[in-house]
Amino acid sequence: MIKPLRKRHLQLWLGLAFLLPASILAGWLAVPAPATDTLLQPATPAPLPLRLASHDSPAQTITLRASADTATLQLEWVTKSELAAPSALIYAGERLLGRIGPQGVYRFSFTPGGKDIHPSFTVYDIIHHKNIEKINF
Amino acid sequence: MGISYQAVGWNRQKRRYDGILLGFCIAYIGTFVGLSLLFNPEMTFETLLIRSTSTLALLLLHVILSIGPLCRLDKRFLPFLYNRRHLGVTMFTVAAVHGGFSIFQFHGLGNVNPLLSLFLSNTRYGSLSAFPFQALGFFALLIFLLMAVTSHDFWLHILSPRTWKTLHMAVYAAYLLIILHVVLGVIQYETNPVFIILLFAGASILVTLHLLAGFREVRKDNLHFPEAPKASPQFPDAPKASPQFPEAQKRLVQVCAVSDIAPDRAKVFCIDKERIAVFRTGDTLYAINNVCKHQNGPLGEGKVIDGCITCPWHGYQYLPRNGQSPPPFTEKVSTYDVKMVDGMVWLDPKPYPEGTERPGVPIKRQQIKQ
Repeated sequence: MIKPLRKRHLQLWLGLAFLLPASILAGWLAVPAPATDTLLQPATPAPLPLRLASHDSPAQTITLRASADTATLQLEWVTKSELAAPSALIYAGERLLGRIGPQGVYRFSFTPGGKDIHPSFTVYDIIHHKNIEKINF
Repeated sequence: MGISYQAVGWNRQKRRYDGILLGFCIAYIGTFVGLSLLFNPEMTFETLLIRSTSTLALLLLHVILSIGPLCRLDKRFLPFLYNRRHLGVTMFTVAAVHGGFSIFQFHGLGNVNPLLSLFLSNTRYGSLSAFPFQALGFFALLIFLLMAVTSHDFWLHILSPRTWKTLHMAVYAAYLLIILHVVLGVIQYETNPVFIILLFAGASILVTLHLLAGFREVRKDNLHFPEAPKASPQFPDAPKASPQFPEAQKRLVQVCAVSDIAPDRAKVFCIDKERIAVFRTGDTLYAINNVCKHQNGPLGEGKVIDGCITCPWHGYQYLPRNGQSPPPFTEKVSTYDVKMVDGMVWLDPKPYPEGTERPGVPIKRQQIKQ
C-alpha cells in the first residue's frame, strides 16, 4: 500500500475502535427488559363453601357458589373441552367478571346486586363480537 | 499475473483453496442445520437457511477483515491474502442468499412491493430497540455487491489501483452497518448473552489487529537514517555525481548492513515518504520502489523467484535490475541507486524513471559483517 492509503486505513480503524464498541454497547443497553407474565385476571381463588346451583354439559361444568353468609357469590367455570372461541369474556348481568379460555378451572367472585341473587351469565366472544352462551340458574 | 482478462485466473492453488472454502461452507451450514433441528425440530426450512447463512457470512467477513493486518504482522498469512478476493465473493454470495430469503420471507408474501415493504413496514427510526435493522443489512449488502462486481482486475485497471483500493475500503462502512444490523436486530430478541459476547470479541479482535498493524507501519515510515558524508578520504566510496544525475551524492543515506538482508529477500526503508525495497539476489544488491503496480502490494515483503522480484500479494513479477515485468508484461516500477561501503548499504532515495536499468552493486564477500 502507498502511504496515503496506509494513513487512511489507520484513521478509519481509529474511528471504528470507538464506533464499534459504542454501537454494541448502545444496542445492548437498548435491549428491552424481558416481558414478565402479567395475568389478564387474578389467580383462581379458592372455591366458596356453599354450592347453590350447578349446570353440567359435555363442554363445561358451571357452578354457582356462595360464602357462608351468602354475602359473596362465586361463579365456577370448568372448561372440559376447547371453547369454540379462543377467548371469551363472561358477564354477570351487565358486570364483567373476567375471561375464560382453554381447558381449566375459572372462578369469579362477586357481590350480588340488590335483586339478582341468581343473576344470568353471558359468555361473549370478543373476537367475533357476539354472545356465545347465556346461562340462567 | 495475466496478459489478458479472464473471468477468474484459476491455478492449482486457487482451485485447492476454493475447494477447501466450498467444503467449509457446506460443512458449516450442514452442522448448523443439524444442531438446530436436534434442539428445535420444528424450525422451518426458511428460518434455518436465513440463520445459517447469516452466521456464516458474518464469520467469513471477520476472517476477510483479519487477513490484511495478519499479513502485515506475520508473513505466514500471505497465502490467505493471495485468495482473499475469492473469499470476499463467497461471503457476498452467502450474504445475498440470507438477504434474498429474508426479504422473501418477511416482505415478499404481501401485496406491497418487497423493497418498499423493507423500508416502510417499520418506520421507527427514532427507536434503538425497535429500529428497522433490516434496512442496515440491505445497505451493507449493496456495498458488498459493488465490491463483488468490481473485484476483477478489469476494474482494477479501469479505476487505477489507488481508486480501486479506496472504493474497496467501503467494506469497513459495510462492517459497521452489519454490526448495527445484528445488534439492533437479533440481539434485541435473543436473551442468550453468548451472541453479544461473540460479536464484541470479533470486533475487538479486528480493531486490535488493525491498530497493531497500522501503528507498526507508522513506526516503519518514521525511521530515520543517517545521511552520507560527502566524498572524502575517509569516505572514498561515496558516489560520484554524474552528468545525468548530478544530485546523487547529496542524497545517500545509510540504511543497514548487507548481512541484514537475507539472500533473495529484501529490506524495506521509508525515506522521504517513499518506501524502497533493497533486494539481495545472487551477489548483487538492487533497489526498487516497494509498491506493486497491480494492487499496491509490498514488493519488499516478497522474494526473488526465477530471478524476478515477486509480489507477495498476487505474484506480479519485476526484474531487479530495471523494475520491469518480464515480457510480455508491461508493468514498471522506479529503480534506485544503491552503494555498499564497508559492509554497510547506502541508498539514494531519488528515484529513476520507472523501468530504468541500474547495474546494482556487487557484494564484496570480505565486506560482509556477520
